[in-house]
This record gives sequence, C-alpha cells and structure tokens, in this order.
Amino acid sequence: MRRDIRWLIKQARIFYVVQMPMGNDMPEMCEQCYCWAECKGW
Amino acid sequence: MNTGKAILRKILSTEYYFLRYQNKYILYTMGGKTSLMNESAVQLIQWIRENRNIDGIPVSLLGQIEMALSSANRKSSSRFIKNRELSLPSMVTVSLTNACTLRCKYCYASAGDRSVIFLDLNIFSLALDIIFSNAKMLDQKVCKVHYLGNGESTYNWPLFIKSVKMARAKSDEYGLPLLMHVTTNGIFGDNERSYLAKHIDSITLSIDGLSKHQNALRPLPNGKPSWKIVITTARYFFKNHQKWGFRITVTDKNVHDISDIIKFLSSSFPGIPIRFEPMHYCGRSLDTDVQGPEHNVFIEEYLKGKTFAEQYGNPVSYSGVRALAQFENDSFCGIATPNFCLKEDGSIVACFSGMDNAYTYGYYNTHSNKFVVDEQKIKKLRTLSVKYSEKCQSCFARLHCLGDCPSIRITSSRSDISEQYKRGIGRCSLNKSIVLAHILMALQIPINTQDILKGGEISCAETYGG
Repeated sequence: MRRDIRWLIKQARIFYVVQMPMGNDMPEMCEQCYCWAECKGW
Repeated sequence: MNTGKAILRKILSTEYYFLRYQNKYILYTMGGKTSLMNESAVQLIQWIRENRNIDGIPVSLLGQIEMALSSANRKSSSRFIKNRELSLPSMVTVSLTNACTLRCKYCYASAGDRSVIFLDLNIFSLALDIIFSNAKMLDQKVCKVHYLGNGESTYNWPLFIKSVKMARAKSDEYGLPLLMHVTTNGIFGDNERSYLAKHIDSITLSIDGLSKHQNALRPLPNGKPSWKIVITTARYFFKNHQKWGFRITVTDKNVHDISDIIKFLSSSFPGIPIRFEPMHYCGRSLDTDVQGPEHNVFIEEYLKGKTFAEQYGNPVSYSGVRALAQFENDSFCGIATPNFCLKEDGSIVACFSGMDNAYTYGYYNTHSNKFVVDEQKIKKLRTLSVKYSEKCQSCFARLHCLGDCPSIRITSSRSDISEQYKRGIGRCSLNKSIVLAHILMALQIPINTQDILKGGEISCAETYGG
C-alpha cells in the first residue's frame, strides 16, 4: 500500500453520524399547496 | 458488519455528497445519513471509490464508513404515484370565484381586477361525483375538497355554504368520509368564523405578519387597513378550531421582520403552525413596487425565528425545504400528479398560480355534461417531478426541495426575464443554504449565516454521486 494512503488511514476520523428525518415532517400539510390537508393532491 | 466486498459495493453504489462548511467536512447521503469527519476521511473515501480497493484498511474504520453510508431504504414509488398513472383523483381543489375581499399587492391572480365569475355548482357536483367514484373504486378511506384559487372562496357566502352542503351530502350518498380544507384571507365576521370552525376540517389563514405589513400589503378593496379583521379571525380560530395555521407571503417589505413576526405569532398563538413563502413574481406584483425578499435576509431571519418558535411549539416551515422525501420520483406539489383543480370558469388546471397555459389540461363540456381532458398535457405535466429535472440530479438538496415549485423553476429559466424580475425566483441557492443549515443543526454545529450562504453556492461543486 502506498505511503500516503497508509497515512490517510492513520489520520482518518469520522466523528459522528446522524440520520436526518425522512418523510413528511409536517404530516398534516398537503404538498399540493403545502396546506393542512395531507393529501398530495389526490 | 458486512464483509469487505459488501462495504466496497456500498461505497461505489451510494449517492453521497461532501459538503464543506468553514473548516469542517460533512458527508451527506441521499438516504439522509450525515456525518462529520476530517479531511483525511474524505480523501480516503474518495481514494477507495476511485481505486475500488479496501485492502489494508482496518475493519473498524471500514465499519465506520459503512455506518456513514448506510441509511433507511428509500421506496421507489407510492400509492399516490400508482394512482397518478390511472388519472383517478379523489380530491378536488375548487376555485369558487375570481372575486376577492382584499387587494393584495402581490396577488398571483390579480383577484378583483377582472369581471366577476362564480363557479356553476352543477360543475362542482360533477367533480364531486368523480372524486367519490374514484375513491370507491380505489378503496380509499377518504375524499378531500380544498377551497383555494383565483379569489376568496368565502366572497360569495351563500355560494360557499351551498357548496359545502353539497359536498357533505355527496359524502353521505357515497358513504365515504370527506375532509374539507379552506385557504382564506380571514376577512369576514363572527357568523362566517363560527361556520368555518364548525364545518371545515382544516384552515389556512393568510396574514402578512405584523399590522404594518398586513395593512400595507393586503389592504381592503377601498384601500383601508385589514389587520383588525384578520387578527380577530385568528383569535377566533385559536379559541374554536383545532386544526389551522398561518401562511405568510414574504416580500422585500417584511423580510427584515420575519423573526419579529414569528415572535409575535408564536407568543400570541402558541402551537399554531406558521408557514413562510417568498413572493412569486406574477399577477399584481408585476405592476406594483413590491419585490421578492433578499435571500440572505430571508435565511438569517427564518433560521433565527424558527429557533425562537420552537420554545412555543409553533412549527415553522417553508415549502422549499422539507424533511427528506421518501420517494425518488416525488414532486414539489401535486402539479405532476396532476392536481384536479377546478377553476371558476369550469376549466381544469394543475396549478392556479401558474402563468403558463400549459397548466390548463381540461374543461367542462356543457353539451356532454362531462370534463374533457387533454392526455398529452397530462403526460407533460407528469414530467415536472424532480426525477425529470436534469439540473437537480447532481444536487444534494433535491430530495428536500423536490425540484422546488415548477412554476418558479420554469419562469426562472426563461431568458426574456430581467435580473430584477428574477430576484426571488431562482431559489436554488436559498434552498441549498437552508438544507445545509438543517444538516449542521442535526450535527450540532453552530451556524453562521454568511458561511451558510457560501455553502449553498459551493456544496454542489464537491459531489460524488453513486
């Protein structure tokens, strides 16, 4: 393995991981007009 | 943990983006995983991707990389998309009239300027039969009627009541529950307030923040102030209705006060949702001195106010940035379904505010007593989902804005529009900046608005798609 890659492996840090919220974060809102009707048009 | 080969496959197949904010490196996947890492980790992931090689990399580090890339499985389609293929709407959005009790300076429909038209309720009855029959056929549990459109639905109060009664009667006839929603300017008295609170399931109340904004931007037809009436309506709904919220149009006149508006509304109406939408250039705004908001001010004020509103439990939103969409082929709004919007003249449109005639895809035929639709136009409307927007395909924010409002997207790409006019239209950098802010908040990184604005510009330059 190349020296620079070995160095990268040594230095690499992943500090923390978070899952962003998925889905409709405004559950009662309609994406048709973004109101409160939760319908997606149909 | 997966085997080395499986991790390599994940690195090669996951769509992810590296975002740089100040001196921090963030990896963001289209599955919504976001990780804070150092530059060496970024370089290593890039190296693995380019060389398709993980030999010699410690298992613990590979495990961390795998965790950063793993996310919830995304669904490729949804029920509504399947129904879309069949053209079977179970909701109608109805515009009862083009007349209005206000003369808002930016009204997309220039409501009140043209000769007054009211919807023929026989046409509405036909639309109701369509949605209830479809719902029955599709075994859906509910039908929906939404009052919105080119004027104020409550302008002709007897017509409004008649239409509500008609829809409720159809609901009984078909044995299917009906949800009714009204978007209103709130300019009416206690009788109307009480009726809406009793008979309408959910309400959107348009207001422009503080009294000075409302009176200047949303005057009555005689030019007099409208604040006292609309705030009385808000107070009535607060006491008597469970499901309602504010909608505020943001212009250059009120953008500097967004956080004050949020402070006022959230302390006076705790828990009530507040939605902000930057003004869209069309209708009356083309002839007045009202302009779209400066994006940097919008972002700063919006983020400041959002944090404040959380103390009072008021959800604050803007349609250009939402939680990550669950479906790859989703669209910003129902325009790509397309929406079944019935205009006061009997035509069917996918969007009321669209300036483009392309959004009109059908009309009511008096001779046959049927709606006639243009299938070619429907096909074209269905290409307005984010999946078909070429410029969105390499953007980390695309599943948060879903390609943004198609009407705005189309308008901003026109070459015959001046730069001044475009202000407030091209919202990509605004949306990307706010998505970046949400990512930083999730990672608990302190936000500096100026740096976020830069982030919105550069983030897409450093992307590695799967």
